[in-house]
Amino acid sequence: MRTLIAEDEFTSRFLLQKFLSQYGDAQVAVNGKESVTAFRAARESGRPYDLICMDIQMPQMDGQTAVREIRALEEAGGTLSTNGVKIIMTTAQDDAKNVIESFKSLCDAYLFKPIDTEKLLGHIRDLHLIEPKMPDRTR
Amino acid sequence: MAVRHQKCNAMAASAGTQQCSYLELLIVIDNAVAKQLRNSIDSEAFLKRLKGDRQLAEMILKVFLEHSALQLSSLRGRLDDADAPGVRLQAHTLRGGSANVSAEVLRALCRETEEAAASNELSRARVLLPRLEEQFELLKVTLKQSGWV
Repeated sequence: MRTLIAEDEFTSRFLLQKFLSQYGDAQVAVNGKESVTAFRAARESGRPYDLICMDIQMPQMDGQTAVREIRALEEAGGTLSTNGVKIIMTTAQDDAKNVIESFKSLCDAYLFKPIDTEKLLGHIRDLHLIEPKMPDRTR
Repeated sequence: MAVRHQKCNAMAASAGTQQCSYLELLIVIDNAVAKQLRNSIDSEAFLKRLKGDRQLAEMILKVFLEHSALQLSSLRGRLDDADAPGVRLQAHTLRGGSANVSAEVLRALCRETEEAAASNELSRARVLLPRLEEQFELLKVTLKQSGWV
């Protein structure tokens, strides 16, 4: 599983990268703009991401705009969002309004902060990115 | 000693209506500080969210302390520049980190600062900044005392 973590806050980024790197290559972007650039570069190199964990409030470009741009790139390349990269939006627990907006922007799931690794793993399993019975490597 | 602590707490509650000795006053202060330290982080909740991975928790706390210090400094800079959107984003970022390590008091103060900046009340945000810095220092002490970092 190849993952891109788009997150401006260092602790969240560090936590996600440490956790997700147990399941494959986990790269980082520090804002929405960087995540779109990384997504495009990965596609062009023939090694696209399987999963993007996208924060919502970020400098330069927010997560919702970045998701829209990523889906537009996929569509332009003939990929429907249902077959595209899986996107989990990460947001503060009290920003529910943002979550609704994210679904409109074609993301696949959301994860409230503070980040709970068990819930994250549940999403990854639900999205069929790892085998349902794949052992939890952190135990 | 427990009886003495109870007596001092009762004295503190009566807010100056009685006089207590210097030693008793020190105990009251000590109790108050200990309570503040205990409240600065919910390490049990933090560890639970990491499925009990203590090593990962320690690494995260270390980077959290390093980066939050920088973020606080940046927050001060943005307040000095009267940059309300910048203050809002910086407080939001710090809130995310605080939430991740279950530093609940710091998280609540960040949220207040974020809301103040969102409504362009920078004078309120300026009042909150010393409390944020104090809480951050308290958190550092707690984490050192309890052997987390």
